[in-house]
Order: sequence, then C-alpha cells, then structure tokens
Amino acid sequence: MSRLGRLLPPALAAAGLALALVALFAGRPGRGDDATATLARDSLARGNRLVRRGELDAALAAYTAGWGDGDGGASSATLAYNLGTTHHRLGQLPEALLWYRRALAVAPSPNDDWLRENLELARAELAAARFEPPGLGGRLAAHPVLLTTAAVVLAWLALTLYLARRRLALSLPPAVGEWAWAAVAGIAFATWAAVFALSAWGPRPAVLLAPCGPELAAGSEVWVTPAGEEGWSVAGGAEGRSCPESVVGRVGG
Amino acid sequence: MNRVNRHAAGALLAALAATLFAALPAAADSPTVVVDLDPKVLGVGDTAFLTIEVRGGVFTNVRFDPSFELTNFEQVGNPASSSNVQWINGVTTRSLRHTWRLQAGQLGLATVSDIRVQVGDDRFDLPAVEAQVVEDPPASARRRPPAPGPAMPRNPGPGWRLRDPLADRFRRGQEDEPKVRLLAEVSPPVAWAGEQVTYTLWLYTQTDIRRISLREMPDFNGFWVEEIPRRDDLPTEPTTLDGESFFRTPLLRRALFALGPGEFDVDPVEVSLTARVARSGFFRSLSTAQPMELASNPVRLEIRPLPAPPPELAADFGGLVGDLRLDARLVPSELAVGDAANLELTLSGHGNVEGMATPRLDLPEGLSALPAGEAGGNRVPDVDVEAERTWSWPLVPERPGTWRLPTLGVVYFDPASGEYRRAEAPPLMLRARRGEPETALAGGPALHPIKNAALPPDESPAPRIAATLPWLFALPWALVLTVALVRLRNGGERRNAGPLTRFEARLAEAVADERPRQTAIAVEAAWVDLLAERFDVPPGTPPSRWSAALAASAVDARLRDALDELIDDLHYLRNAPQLSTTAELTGELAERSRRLARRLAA
Repeated sequence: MSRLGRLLPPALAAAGLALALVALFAGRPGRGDDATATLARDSLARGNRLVRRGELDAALAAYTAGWGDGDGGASSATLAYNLGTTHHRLGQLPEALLWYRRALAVAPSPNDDWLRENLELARAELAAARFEPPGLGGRLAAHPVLLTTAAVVLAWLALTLYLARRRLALSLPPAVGEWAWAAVAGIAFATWAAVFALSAWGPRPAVLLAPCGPELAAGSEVWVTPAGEEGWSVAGGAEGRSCPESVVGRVGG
Repeated sequence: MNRVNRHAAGALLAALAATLFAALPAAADSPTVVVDLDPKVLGVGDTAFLTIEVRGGVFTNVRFDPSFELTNFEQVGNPASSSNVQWINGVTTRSLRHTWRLQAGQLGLATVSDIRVQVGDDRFDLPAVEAQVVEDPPASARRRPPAPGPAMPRNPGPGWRLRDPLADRFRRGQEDEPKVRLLAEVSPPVAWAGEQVTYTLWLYTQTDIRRISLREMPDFNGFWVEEIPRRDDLPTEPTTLDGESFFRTPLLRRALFALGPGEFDVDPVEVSLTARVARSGFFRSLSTAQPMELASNPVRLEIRPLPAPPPELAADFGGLVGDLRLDARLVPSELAVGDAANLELTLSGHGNVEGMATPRLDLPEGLSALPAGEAGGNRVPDVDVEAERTWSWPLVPERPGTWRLPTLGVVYFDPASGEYRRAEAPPLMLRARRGEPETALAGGPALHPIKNAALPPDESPAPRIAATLPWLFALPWALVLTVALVRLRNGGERRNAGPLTRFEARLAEAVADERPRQTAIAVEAAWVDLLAERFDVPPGTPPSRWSAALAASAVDARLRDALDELIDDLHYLRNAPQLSTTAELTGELAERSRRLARRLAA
C-alpha cells in the first residue's frame, strides 16, 4: 500500500472531526443551557401575569427580556409565540408575524395548531406578499437542518465504505473500491461547509416591519442577504432592493 | 267661551320640549298626563293655576301640544314650563310640566274643558277641571296677578320688610312681627352664553313656617331652564342677614342656560306662607298663624357671548359649553364575524348636552355601523345639573381582522378657563375572528391566546435533533481516525495476520483432497486471495503475471523467482496423470507455499 493510501484516511477523518467540533463550539445549530432556559421560563411567567392584567406593553418587554438569542429551548418557543400573540392583540401585525415565524423556527412542531393558526390569521389580516426562497441557495437555506442531516448521513456512509474498502476492492475495480469512501467523505465535507456558508452569506428569511419601497409592504415575508452598511438586500421578492436594518426583522439569529 | 290654542305658547316651549324628550330612553313606560287647577275656590279677579304634567313614556320626537277651552277664565301671560328627572331604584322618571295663570271672571263656575294633550303619537283627552268664583273667598285662596303699582310688595333687597295683608283687617296691636325674608341669587351673576347658572331662592326666617306655596314664578325668558328638585330632607342652616340671625333653606333652584348673550332681569318670585306669630300681652305665651305674601328681589344676569373658536376647532364646535368629558367603551372587543359589538360613547359633565347632535363615526374599511341609538339626560344633584348623554352604535365586522377605531372627540367651551377644548375618548381596538364555518368561509382561524407557563413545554424533537447533528457528524470521523491510527501504528504484523492464517488454512484443506488437480486449483486460489489482500494484486491476474504485479509492490526478486517455480510445479500437478503418485509432490508444494507466503508477509 502506498504512503498516500495509508495517510489519507486519518487525514480525512481529522478534517471531518475538526469541522464537527467547529460547529459544536461555534453554536450552530442551537445551543442552550440551564441559565438561559431558566431566564426564559421566568420571563414567560412574568409576561403572562402582565397580559392577564391587561398591561400588554409591559408584557412585551418581559417576554423580550427572556428571549435572548432564542436559546431557551421549549420556553423560547413559547416566548416567541406569546410575543407574537401579544403583538397581535395590540394590532402590531408585522411584529406578530415575525414572532410567529421565530416560534416556528425554534420549534417547528407539526402539532402546534395554535401557532400555525395564529400565523395564518396574521397573514390573512396583513394580506402582504410572501416570497419563496430564491434559487438553489435559498431553497437549501430554507432547510438548514435537512442539509445538515444530509452531511451526517454522508459521513456515516463514508465510514462504512472505509471499513469495507478491502472487500469492495475484490468485487469492484481496485481504485474504485479503495477510494470510493474518500469521495463520499469529500461530499460530506462540502455539504457541511455549505451549511456554514449559507448561514454566513446566504439568503435568510425575514419579515418587513415597515414598508420598504412601493412593492414591499409591511408584513411582507422576504429573503434577504447581508448588504454591509446598507442593511439588507432583498433576495426573494423585489430583488436587489436594499432595506435598512430597522425595517428588516430576521426570522433567524 | 274662548278657545285657547297652546300653539301660542311659543316656539321656544315646543323646541324645548322636543329636544328635552329626544334624549329620553325609547323603552320607557307609557306616558301619563295629569291636570290640576288650584285653587278650587277663588274670588273675582283672583288667579288660579292650571298645571298639565306629562310623566314617563316614550319621549323621542314628542310633541307636547296641549289645548283647552276656558269658561269664565282669562289666561294671563305665557305659561311657565319646567322639567324634572328622577332616578328611583335604577329607573329614570322624567316629567314635563306647563303651568298657566288663569284670572277668574264673574261669580259662578269657571271651567277648563276640552283639555287635549298630544304626546308623540298618543292623544290624551283629560276631564274638565273647574273652580268656584265666590264673592268672599278664603284669604289663602286669593291669588291675584301682579299688576302695575304697589299691588304686591316686591322685595328690594335684604332689608325688605314683609307686609301683612291682614294687618288692616285685624289690628292686633302688640303682636310680634314675624321675620321672614325671600332672597333670590344667581351664581355666577356673569356667565358665558350656554354656561350653567344656578338660580336659588332662599327663605330666611326666624319663626316657624307652617305652610308655603308659590304664587308667582319668573318666566326665565331667554334661558333653557332645568328644575333642580328640592329635597325634603334639606336642613336649615343658621346664617346672618343684616346683623340678625336667621335660619335659611332653599325654596327652589333652577339651572339656567342662556340661549344667547345679553343682560337679563329675572322677575321676583312671589310666595304665600303662613308663619307662626307669638302674641304679646296677656296671651303672650300663645301664638297664632299669620298668612303672609312675600316677594323676592329681582336679579340681573349678564351673559357674555362666546369668543370665536380657534380655526382648528371651529369646524367641530357644536355649541357645547361646560366642564365635559368623553368616555368610550366597546363590548365585546373580540367577536366573530357576523356578530355585533356595541360601541358606547358617553359625554358627561357639568353642562347642557341636550342639544348636541350625534357625533360622526368614521369607521375603517371592513367595519360597518348600524344606526346610532341615544340615551341619557340630565342628572340633577343638589345644586347643579350634571349631564350625561350616551350614543351607541352596533359595529359589525365584515371580515376577520383587527381594527384600531378612530379616536372620537367633541369640542366644547370650558367656561372656567374661557377656552375651547377637545374631549377625547380613549382609543379602542376591535378584533374579529372567523365566524362559524358555514357563515364565514372567507375568514381565517381565531386568534388563540397566549400559552401559559404552566402548560407542558413543546415536546417537539426538532431542537434536540438539531443539537445532536454535530455530534452525529463528528462520530464517524472519530471512528475512521481511530481505525486508521491503529492500523498505522500496528500496521505490519496485525495487518497480515488475518490473510496469512486464512491462506494456511486453505492450504491445509487443499492437501487434504487426494485428487491432485483439485489440490492444485485450491492452492492456486489461496494464492490469488493472499496476493489480492496483501499486495493488491487484482484477482483476475493470471499466475504468469503475478511476479510482475509483485514487482510493482517492490517485492524481492528472489521471492518472485520462488513464486514462479511454485507456479510451474502447481501447473505440473494440475496436469499430472491421475494414476501417478502425487502425494509427496502435494505435501512438498504446500510446504513451499507456506514458507514463501511467510517470507512475503515479512
């Protein structure tokens, strides 16, 4: 066996391990700890008391204080839902729509009828435009967990091929049997890296909290990409239009 | 006999009645109408009072239009009107009363007949009332209309002295003079047009008053008049008048709202009363009842015109004057499409709101309102009138949605500050959710409430799965890395142990076969597998090219030569005659194969 053949497996494995560790310590996807979960629960209880007293504005402040980065787990999903409902009751429909979307992003439970129905009610009341994710990047960015899961599956397939490469060499052309696992490993790396690239530079869903130009009304659900100091550039719906930071409510972090 | 049509009562009275009744609840009881003539016995030229009063009933757009015929009576002056509102056990009772002064003619019977009162769509035919005109009526029944000259004493002020009409008939000499005064006052004496002015008639007395009745009321021409009922439990209060101690009590109060600017003189009020008089002399310890007729002082009111409203408020100013506030409520604030919410707008405060038009309601798109209803009126506490008027609109949402209702407001003139102000109701929100499926197909789902922290948390597995993915990605690489590192470290020996063992096992199996051809084939197949696993020689490589393949893996030439010799012997064994003895050759080839394989593996 050549020297390359002996050194390549540990090199690829080390690279894959490094990518995984970067994801873990860079906080993607979501992380959470007991402190943030406790803060979210306390804020939820305080906000609910204020809502029962009819102090909706104060309740909004309490809920928002517990939201943080949305890392409070299940409590954060409830926080986001209650924020949306409270905004909804105050007639602040774009904000309500944004928080419903955030609740759905934190915990996309298919059984949460309240969340989905309130979301649809806000959409019906706003009657604003709703744009699909732009291009392949947008479609991939719309399903980050799916893309990450694909990378994980490819990693395990690469492991299987590596362990069985000698047997594969008996039944397949030797080069194919020996290096098929490396090819799959490379695809896994690329997929995993794409998740990072899309999160950093790709389009992301957003809700416009105020009109941005004549064709984008408040409450429009668009896709935006970072545009430096100009705020955000609309990538899905009215492509190329720049909207200031204050107008764009991003669904994700 | 002369027919008296009360159309002549004046347009003012009709307007007052119509506006007054317009504010009353439409669901009130049926009205009742009563008529009274007082006194029933009087002298020639004396005055009787004819009173027609309407109580309760449906007063919206009412026409209070009385007519009657007089026989042996002559009407004196215009009628006086008054209204009254009472809340008893939560029920509003309202009355409107007109009083005419009738002067008796000749001796005999004087009648008021054919009394008809039209209240709204209802007509009331009332029984005739009559009085007896006699030559010598009782003194208490004498009521003469005020005439030019000193026919009746007028009270010029606090120093006014009462007059005993019976003093000339009965010279009592030593009896004590009863000290009773009537004082009228207005507050404030200078007011804005439309501002509420309270007219109060005070009775000052140092003795007991056994009976008292009003004989003459001022007309209050130029004013909207609201009666402030006198409470029976009002205490008398000690006070001082011209250095003398008196007790005083309000005999009547009226709330006056000037209809326009100017200077107005309010005529005196005349009353008849019976006061207790202590007797002097031998019967000093006794007292007698002394009839008296008193008149109050006239008062003057100065009514100032309202200043011009500022341009931004001029369009919304409808003539309201007072200290007013505006409240609004919406019940319910959330409802289903197809249901109706009731928007109530209440204007209240000190002032006259009777004539205010229904506020304009500009609704946002998606909401419609049914015609407004009105209710309310004046509440009259002790000293002034508190107005309250409520408009209500049923609001009907035409689709699901949330609406912020426009702020409702009214512009009024605040007499205390002399400025125009705007009273605004608090903002209201209305939310309409989807109605029943069969009635609101276009609607969306209803707005669900907040989630309680006590509810079980969302058990969605997605967050946990997302958090696990990096670990799942890391694990296979960790396994590959581990295996690769172990193989690198323990490469030679452990890497070859397996194939060599299998090779030797296969050699053993091959030698066990007594057929030389099969033995040769089995040994050759064992070599094929060994070379493939150990040196990556493709399995399909013919034996004649094994040496060349091993040369690519840098195998020593002597070993390759030994392998070639072994291959030749295997070829011989495969083709050996079946009858020849091959047992020794078979064993020898197996042993050579084992040794050669171990040398190659090393």
